Amino acid sequence: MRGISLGRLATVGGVLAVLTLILTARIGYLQLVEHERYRAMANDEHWGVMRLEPHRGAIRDRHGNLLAASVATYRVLADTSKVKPEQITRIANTLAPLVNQPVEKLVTALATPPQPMLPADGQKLGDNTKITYKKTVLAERIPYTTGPKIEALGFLGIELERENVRVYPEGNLAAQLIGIVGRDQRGLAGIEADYNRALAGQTGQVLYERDTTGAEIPLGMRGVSQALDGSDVVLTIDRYIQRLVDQEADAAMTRHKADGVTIVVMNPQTGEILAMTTRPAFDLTKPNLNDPKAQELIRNRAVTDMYEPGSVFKILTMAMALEEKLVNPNTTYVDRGWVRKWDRDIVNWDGAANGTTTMTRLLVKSANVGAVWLSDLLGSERFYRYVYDFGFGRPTNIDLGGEAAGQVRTHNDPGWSPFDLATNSFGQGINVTPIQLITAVSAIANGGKLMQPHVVKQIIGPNGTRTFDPVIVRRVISEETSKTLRSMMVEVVNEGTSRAVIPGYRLSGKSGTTQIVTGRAYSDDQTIASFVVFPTDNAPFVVLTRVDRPKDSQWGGQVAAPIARSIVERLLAYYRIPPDNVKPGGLG
Amino acid sequence: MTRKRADYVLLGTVAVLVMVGLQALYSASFALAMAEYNDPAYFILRQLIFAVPGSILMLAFWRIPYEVWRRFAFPVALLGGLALLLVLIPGVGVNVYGAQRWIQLGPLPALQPSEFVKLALIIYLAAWLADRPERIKSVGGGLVPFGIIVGLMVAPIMLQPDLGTTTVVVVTAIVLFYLAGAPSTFMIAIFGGIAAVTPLLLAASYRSNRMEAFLDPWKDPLGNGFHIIQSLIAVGSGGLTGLGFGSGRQKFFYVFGSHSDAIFAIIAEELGFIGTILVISLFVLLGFRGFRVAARCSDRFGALLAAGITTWLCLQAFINIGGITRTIPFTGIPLPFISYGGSALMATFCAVGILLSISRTTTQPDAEEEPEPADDPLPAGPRLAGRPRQSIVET
Repeated sequence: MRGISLGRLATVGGVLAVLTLILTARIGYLQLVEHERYRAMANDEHWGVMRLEPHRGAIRDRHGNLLAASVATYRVLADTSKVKPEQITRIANTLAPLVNQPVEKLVTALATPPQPMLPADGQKLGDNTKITYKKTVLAERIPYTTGPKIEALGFLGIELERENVRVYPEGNLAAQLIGIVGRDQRGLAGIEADYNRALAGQTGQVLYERDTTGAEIPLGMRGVSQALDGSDVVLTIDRYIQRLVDQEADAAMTRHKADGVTIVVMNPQTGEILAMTTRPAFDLTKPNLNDPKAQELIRNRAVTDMYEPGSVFKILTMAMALEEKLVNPNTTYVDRGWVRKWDRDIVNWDGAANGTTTMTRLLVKSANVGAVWLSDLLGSERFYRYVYDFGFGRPTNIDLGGEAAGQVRTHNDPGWSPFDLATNSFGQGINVTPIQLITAVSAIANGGKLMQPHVVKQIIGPNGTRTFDPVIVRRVISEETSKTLRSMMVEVVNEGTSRAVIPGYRLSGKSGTTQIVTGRAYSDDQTIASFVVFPTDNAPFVVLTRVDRPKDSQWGGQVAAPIARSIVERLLAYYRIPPDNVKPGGLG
Repeated sequence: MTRKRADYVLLGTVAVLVMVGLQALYSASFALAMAEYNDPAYFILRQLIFAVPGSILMLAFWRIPYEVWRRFAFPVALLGGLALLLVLIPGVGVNVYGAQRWIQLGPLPALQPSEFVKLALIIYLAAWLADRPERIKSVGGGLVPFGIIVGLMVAPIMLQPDLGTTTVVVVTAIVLFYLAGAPSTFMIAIFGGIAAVTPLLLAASYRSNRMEAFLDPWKDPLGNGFHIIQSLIAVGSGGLTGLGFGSGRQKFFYVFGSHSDAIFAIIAEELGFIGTILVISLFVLLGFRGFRVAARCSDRFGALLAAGITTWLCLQAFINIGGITRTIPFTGIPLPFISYGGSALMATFCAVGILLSISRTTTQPDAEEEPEPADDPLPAGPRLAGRPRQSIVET
């Protein structure tokens, strides 16, 4: 007895067998023939890259105080494809006080339709099947403490992203020196740009297998190259001195209604810059990169901009003559008040005829005629050799970007005339940067060695510390010449520049007043007033002050010297230097 | 009627399928379970909760003489029909992913009646067809009532909507009608009718979306085609040997329903062509042994019931795997014994229990056990006696 027809059962079985064969063939095709294609697709959608951002190094002063540092904050993003429409109001109301934004703005942002990120042009659709949406930025710079609170709310589609921002614990201190960083934390100016590679460190990355939400698959494969944190850059700048100098510069701007102020303080023994400032300045904490005028202010003009040094240059001319033993402090010349060179008259600044004058008096009176007399003794050959040896006409190679080389026209250059030698001797017709001038003066202060100026003392990285030692470029003058000239300059301060005198201390200094060239002629009332000064013996610092177009008085001795005096007075206290006249005998 | 040893090869095949299925389910579901329930064992535990009473039910049905079902065929069908109607009542039925397929009874896990209805309909149809061997050959006594019975049972399933289950039920019913001796003209009429109705079925938007996704998934890889493409990537990236058990990537939310309807994609990804061939072989063996039980059953009801159950299980496996591999359009039905789903697992266990019960009562002589009887009353018997094994080789 048989229940059903075996023939029909066989037919049904046969149909099922054929279907099974078709299915097996299809699976074999997918898994064996097209395997590589699908494997490539799988790799394409499974592997994700996550950038590991290094921590940007800090900029510190010479004692380690923070001047610029990076702080982690959060950026709040919305993936609107995941935000549920009925939740928008609730999310907006909850987030508004946390991110300090109006509720309406958040509602608008959250209601933005999701924009799918499509595969790049030319890429075949289907080879890239990940669905990701552009994210809307709801808020930025959310404090590090607020981030976890937002995270804890657990709103679907609301995401947090770490965002590093630069903070300045000392406010606007040393703005041009520090410089600025862009939104991407890349240095754009100042130390931030010049030392960007050290500060930035190296970005690392994680290659990982991810799920459709972009999250990492547990126990998936991953490849990690660790981020290398940025190094701290320790400056030679002293926070106290920089603050002092910044304040003095601001005060001078107001007091003299000046167009600009530049102050540099340098350690002549090492070439370390202790403070450096220029005014007007930009606001470090709120840089405005869209305003071309504001951009101008970002430049560190103490290094990048040139001017005619004027009478300050006379001490260098004197140094040359002393070094060549052409004169000594008591050598005299006859000053008639004017001298004719190349068919043009050169007169003293006060028009006075000083008669028979010693070299010391030449400097005290700042006699142009005397400087010309010295240049005649030296001759162009020797004069310009010394000018170069003092570091003019070429960069000092300070470790800052954009340094100007200065401009010196010598007897070997076309267009030069003996008249140029005469005016160069008292600082006209020659262009220098403040950093060049203070470096040259430092050579007088330190016994004759030209030091290479620098602002970076150390770079402290995760893999070690690099220290920058003082670099002697060359010896320009002898110890003896230096000592002689320093003593002469004491007279300059005490008798020529009463406003720079600090009772009890021996200071060497020299003022300068440069007429600004307007059009083709020197202007009488528009000047650059400047002053350099340092403690005569074992000077721990040289101060250069420069005021552009002061409106109350145009003279360096009257405008720039009091600023320098105010700074020196406090530096003497800061360095605990006892007055020279109370030094116990036998030690000094 | 004599009782013999049941078909232990069939039992063993099912046991291996369930074991492989539980392993595969754990691997395929832990990521989703972790993400949605914070418990990697969420799905596997619930599957085990159904597997234990399911296997007890199987043992019980094995011991119950299958003839009982002939007597209770109508009440069973009625109960199934009522359960299907319950699903559609709001408040009792539970809607998941836009389909109304489950009943929630108190604290008990949700039940999916359509899984049991498939078995109930096969029992009822087998009994109905066995009762009237000659009348079913007429239009009024066969074709029309057959259409009405199937239509009544399928209508509520279509309303859920559940195209996959509808297909399985309808095709299994037609196979039973054919095996019971329906004239070939009826078959032509039925297939003609289905061909006429198909465009209507395609009108339902989600179904035609599926048709589009089937025809060209790359047209909309991030939308309509996403699910099928992700399944293909899983299958294709498996290659010959697979990524290794547990090492699949596509279960991390790339493949939709990786623990349920699309579990085969994960098996293919992790175990490769070797694994897929193993799973398909197990179903082939199940089909072969099931048809062998049908062929050897002297009782018309038992033979139809065995053939119906076997056809159902094999067809459902084919539609599932065919959908995952884009061999046919995708319809959401579970892979028997393997996919997550307690109702389906219990229903299939019951069906296998009945199949085992039928295998115990075959009177068709087994060459290894007893000599072939000489007096076979059916004229077709001797002619075909030596052939069943070679004619039902591959299923």
